[in-house]
Amino acid sequence: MTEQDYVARALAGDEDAFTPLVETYQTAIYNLCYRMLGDGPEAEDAAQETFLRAYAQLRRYDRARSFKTWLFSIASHHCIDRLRKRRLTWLSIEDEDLAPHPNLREAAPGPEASALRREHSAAIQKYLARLAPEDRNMIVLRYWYDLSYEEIAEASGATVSAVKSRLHRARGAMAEMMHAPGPAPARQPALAVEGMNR
Amino acid sequence: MTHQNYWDWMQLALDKALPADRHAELHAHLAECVACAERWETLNRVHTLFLAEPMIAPRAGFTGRFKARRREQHSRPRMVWGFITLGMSAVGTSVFSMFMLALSFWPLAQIVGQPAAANAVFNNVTVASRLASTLAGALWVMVKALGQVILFSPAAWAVALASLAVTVGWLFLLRRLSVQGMVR
Repeated sequence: MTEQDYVARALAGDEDAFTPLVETYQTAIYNLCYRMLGDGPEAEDAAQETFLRAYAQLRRYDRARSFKTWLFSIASHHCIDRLRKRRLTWLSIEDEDLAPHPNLREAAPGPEASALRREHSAAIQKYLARLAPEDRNMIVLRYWYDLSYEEIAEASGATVSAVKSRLHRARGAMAEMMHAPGPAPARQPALAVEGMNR
Repeated sequence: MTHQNYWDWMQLALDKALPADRHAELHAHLAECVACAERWETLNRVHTLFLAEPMIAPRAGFTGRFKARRREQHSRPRMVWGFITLGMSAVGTSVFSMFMLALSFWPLAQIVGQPAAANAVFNNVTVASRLASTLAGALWVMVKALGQVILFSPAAWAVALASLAVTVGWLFLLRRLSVQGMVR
């Protein structure tokens, strides 16, 4: 059975038909939420919410589009909304001592590789945390899903030129953070306050 | 060509979107420009760091938790309607209570609305002072009447305060539910 068959069966009222779609995309959606939010339990909640919204809005899904891109679109918007709400009430994760994701620790083959993996993962989450939510979304969609500019535009609802501009700006900002001396990346006032630099 | 042009090309090159003929031009520039070569190296480090980072999977049992949550969500509309009904009742009671309180101001409004009183205010200071005295008297009578109704009727207080409290609680719950996406 194809993805579209499962969608058609779920639309016809077969609740179980949606389950294979959840199983297929759970890692992709969870990873997107984790990279966007930087917190395991919140990523789990956001990923669950993404699938619940997808299930509730299945009738709005245009079958001419990729189901995966549609899911990415729901997850991206949901995570950006959460980050905006968090802005006023929650301490930015850049100020916290970032613990690497437990799954990364388990997956590492030895103590040295484990330490390196943790270091890389913590650095990545720190860089991501300093980007505005929309810019962060571009980086995540580009690097973990290898999407083209056009696909990122479809998933994020931005234009292709906006995607290019945000992706390049975000990567440039991270290069500057990496280039800065010291153990922690230098603060970027224009980017540090989420969503305030546009 | 400015350095900014080459920086844009670097970004496009990392995204495999730079035309082949420009690759050669970019690398020729990098061979002679130290600043651009440094930037290229840093951008490449970012690029490599991100490419090497694996996807993270959720805890085992994600689908089971999704199904449980979907079942839970199915049972929520009844709860939401319960809240809405309770809230509407509270709002109705609040509005009615406020309306009844406002009605008690009616005698005062009647006195103020008298044309004779208005003329008296403009024509004669003495009459104006009498009017003021009358108004004060009416106000005093009304305050006493209200005091008797409200102060000595705990039921009125209880109904008004309870309905206000339920209204506030209801609005708070609605806000929370809308944040969770249950009420749109």
